[in-house]
Amino acid sequence: MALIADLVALGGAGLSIVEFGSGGRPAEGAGVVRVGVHRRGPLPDGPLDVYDVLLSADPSAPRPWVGLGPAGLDAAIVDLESRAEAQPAAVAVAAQVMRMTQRLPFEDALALESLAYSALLASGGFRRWREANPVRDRDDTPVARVRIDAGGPELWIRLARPTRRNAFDARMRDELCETLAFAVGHPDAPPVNLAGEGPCFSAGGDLDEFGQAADGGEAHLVRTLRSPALLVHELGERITAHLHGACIGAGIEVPAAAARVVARPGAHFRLPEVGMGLIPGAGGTASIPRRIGRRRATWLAITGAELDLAKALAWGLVDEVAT
Amino acid sequence: MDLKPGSRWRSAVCDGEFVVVRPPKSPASLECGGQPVIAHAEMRDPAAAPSPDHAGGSQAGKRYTDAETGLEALCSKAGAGSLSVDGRAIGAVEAKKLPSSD
Repeated sequence: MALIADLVALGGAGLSIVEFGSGGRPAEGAGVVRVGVHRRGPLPDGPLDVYDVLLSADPSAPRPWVGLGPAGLDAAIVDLESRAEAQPAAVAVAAQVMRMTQRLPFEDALALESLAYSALLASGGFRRWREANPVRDRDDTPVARVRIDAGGPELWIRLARPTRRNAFDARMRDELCETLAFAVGHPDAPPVNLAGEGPCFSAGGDLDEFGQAADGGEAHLVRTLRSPALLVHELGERITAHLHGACIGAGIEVPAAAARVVARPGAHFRLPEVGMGLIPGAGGTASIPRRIGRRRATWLAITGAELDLAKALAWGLVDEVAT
Repeated sequence: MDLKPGSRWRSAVCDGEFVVVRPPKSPASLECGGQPVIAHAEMRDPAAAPSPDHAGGSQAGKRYTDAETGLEALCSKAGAGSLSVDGRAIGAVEAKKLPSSD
């Protein structure tokens, strides 16, 4: 860890936390995550672009702020500091990537995310997470992971691995891409619905596959070729995502690329990847900032905080609550 | 039948619907459930049913190819009948599986 300590001391990593009104200015290094903190008084109206995360004591602070309430503010700062200490590279890369994805066309943003993801798969932060969380028996039984119903006027595509809470494995990725490509090229261009069978939409990437990619360069090309988020994006106004239960990692990154997101009461959302030494890698650094703005998306990614449905609706991650 | 790329067909004997992705190299007959498919705009006889030899079903979203003629058709709506070309049963193309990228 000595190198990281040096990098932090040299202004090449770590957090720079600035309280508004203190006269302080955030550090400028590209590897530093710049956090602005607002404790009291009116929200600052100066330029905020320099900040990666903006925390406010006002619980109803509008975008780009994360409103936490006075009691939540100190806890949130401590939490950010412990995340940056535990996974310094992933925290820095998450903030860096999010600075760029909104300025890029969607497909280019996905390529950038994938490059960063491959870099982090080779990092010590990820290796340590994998060692601490050994792979269990993998379930790669060759049964269908995705079901398609093309019988009616609208297409329905359903994740169909309910015993594994619709965990995304390579097979599901391939089947979902095949099905979404069919939807994109369908001669009637019908409305498309994306949903999940079982207790939740999806608990995210299949953790038992993490660390399998032996070649970071090839893994990048696989991610670029087989990207469900890109196909969802290409469907444009035609696609609605229907979410329920846990929507974790890829389970929110992919549907967030849909034109419309509907969620049932009880749905909740979380990006756990930075805690594993990675960043969201299923398109989330492109799809989620486009819905909620980059500062809130960066905060969600770095902290791994769970967002409930009320907040997801208020932030625009979800468009509508299903009744 | 003129199996042009993009032309749309329906089964004469089930709910199946198909789009030609690649035409056959020489004139061929595409059948579903044992009967030649009909133009998408036509109505089928609701009483008709697939013959037992061609009742394996067609899956929406799958591509079906005939190695002999090169014909490739996409099933856009599932049906109880399975596809054949000139009486020869044809199967679905399995998408190439790629390894995990995590």
